[in-house]
Amino acid sequence: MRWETLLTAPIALISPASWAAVYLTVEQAQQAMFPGARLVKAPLKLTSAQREALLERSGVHEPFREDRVWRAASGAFFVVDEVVGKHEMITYAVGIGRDGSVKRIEILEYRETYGHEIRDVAWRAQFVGKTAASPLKLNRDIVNISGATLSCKHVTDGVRRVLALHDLVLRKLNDDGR
Amino acid sequence: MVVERMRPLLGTFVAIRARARLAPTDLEHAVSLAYGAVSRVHALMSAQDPASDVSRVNRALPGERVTVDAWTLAVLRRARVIWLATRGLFDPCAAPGATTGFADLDLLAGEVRPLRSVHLTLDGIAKGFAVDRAVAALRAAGVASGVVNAGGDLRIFGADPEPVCVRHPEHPGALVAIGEVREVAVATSAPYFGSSCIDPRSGRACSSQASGTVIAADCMTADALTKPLLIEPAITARALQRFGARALRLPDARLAA
Repeated sequence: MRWETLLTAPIALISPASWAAVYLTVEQAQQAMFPGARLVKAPLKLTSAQREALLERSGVHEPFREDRVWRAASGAFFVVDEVVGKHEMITYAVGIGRDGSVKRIEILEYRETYGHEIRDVAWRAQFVGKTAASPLKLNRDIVNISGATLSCKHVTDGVRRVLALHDLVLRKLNDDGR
Repeated sequence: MVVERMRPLLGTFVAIRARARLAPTDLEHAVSLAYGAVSRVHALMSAQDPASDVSRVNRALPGERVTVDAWTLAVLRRARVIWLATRGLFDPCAAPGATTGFADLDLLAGEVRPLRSVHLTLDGIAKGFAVDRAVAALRAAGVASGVVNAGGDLRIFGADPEPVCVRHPEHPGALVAIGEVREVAVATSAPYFGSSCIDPRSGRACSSQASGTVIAADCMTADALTKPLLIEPAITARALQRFGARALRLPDARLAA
């Protein structure tokens, strides 16, 4: 397999103050996970006992927004939720089958913020490139980043909470209550 | 048409960008197949999943033959080649206080036999392999070009060059542009966000605060070589040559090999 590396010299530094990637809108994610299905918003009003149970089962502290749960005629559910990444929230969607199993997880929006880095002049001096005088809003469309991102543990915790929500509340919304 | 998606897998975020002259549903399906490949790698090689091939090898008694999937064996065979080429610096059986190692694992046809109890982890190579399998799935489904990026281990395929940045090890929010590449994999290991690699010679965590980036033809090789690059660049240089790979350490900001 032939490959080439075209290296620009000198190596340039980009210090974005923040960047965000929007992968899917809620509607697009609904269509991707439940093609052709009609999703109806499920009315939820969690009691404090239920909220406590969700916290205990998942460890997620951020309040769960009740207005982003939809139900399909099949008895499956589509839930939008947010968890904290490093400094910003990561918005994601979970499709849950009628049997309570996870069908799919899609990240809707992923954001990173690193405002404090751009003030550190000393270490930046070793590079040639853009400086903090004009912090770039990074255009994610054209760059690929090598180097670990966050672990997805918070999303995994969030999904665990959504599954607990299904077990405690959502499955009872299905006609036979099972 | 271009599709970009991200899903949580392999303990990190796996992003896929796919460009193809395909109908939207076919392109979505291709991306789903690629994620299916990544999920399969996760199921086979996750040390946390008790049903995985890796966990079953770790539970096996000395001398017991463990049947493993062809993908698992492919990773183990490549790991062995890299283990030899780096004189043991890349060692999937390295663990703090370990008295056994990769030499204690017999690789047979369709199965693995630990000669002594081992602590196998493919965490340092499986992610790269998953990226390669995802790219293969996309290509097989007719995707002309794109990028698969699993937590910073990425592979770019297709005719057009793409720009690549590496996170600065001291400030992971800052990006170092290393240029444009085509048809390569790029993997980076670094101590930020709490990860560290074990130096198999001492059994202790590698104390380097540098990041190591490897550019190679496939992501499995790139992924595996990043750890030896951090531990001992001098020995790794020969392995890089052997595999036709190049490396970059930050903050030294010099390109090697």
